[in-house]
Amino acid sequence: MEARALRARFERVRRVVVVAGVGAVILVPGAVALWMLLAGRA
Amino acid sequence: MSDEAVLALVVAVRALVPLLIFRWNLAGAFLAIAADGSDAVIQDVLGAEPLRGWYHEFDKVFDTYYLGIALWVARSWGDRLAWTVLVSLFALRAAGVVVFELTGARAVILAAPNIFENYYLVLAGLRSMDSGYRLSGWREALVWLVLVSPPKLLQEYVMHYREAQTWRFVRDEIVTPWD
Repeated sequence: MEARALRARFERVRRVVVVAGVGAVILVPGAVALWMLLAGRA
Repeated sequence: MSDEAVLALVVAVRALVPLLIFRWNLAGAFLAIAADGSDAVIQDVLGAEPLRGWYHEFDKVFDTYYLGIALWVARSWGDRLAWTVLVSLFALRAAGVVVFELTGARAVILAAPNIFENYYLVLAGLRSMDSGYRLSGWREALVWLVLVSPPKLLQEYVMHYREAQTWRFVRDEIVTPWD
């Protein structure tokens, strides 16, 4: 695979990781909080 | 491990890790948030509780410290609108923390949630994919605000208003559910 294609693939993977990371860090604590409420642990 | 050693470790983690935000705006923030959650874990794992009785004061000081670093970094982004929103969210949170510490009124924490953190993460994430990214206008700024606020409000309600032991819940239900 030529270098340009490799760089493009790396960039796509990096974007997916960034979106997944930001989404997880924002959503997971809220989801855990909701879980605690529903489980009667809050 | 002694209380003093555990306290030194927790302070070192909370003080040093956020400095990474200067070098890596997004990854540094992720690590600072992980460090924020690490103090309860470190105490639990090492079997000492030097923060018992003053955890919330300790936590708020270091929270404000790492959020302040993030705010400082955002100043260099050259996005006037993003800066205005972030300063406003930071000021709201900082004022809420001060009023809460003075009055002890937990409702203040709910009225001044740490939405700054989520908003910063979104903007740092967008900028990590496009270094020239700027908020296009107040409409976009408002859309992000509406999207990132609900999870943080839920978290504030459970952790700081109801004072639920999040780490114990995660440990009991997710990390070691078989115990």
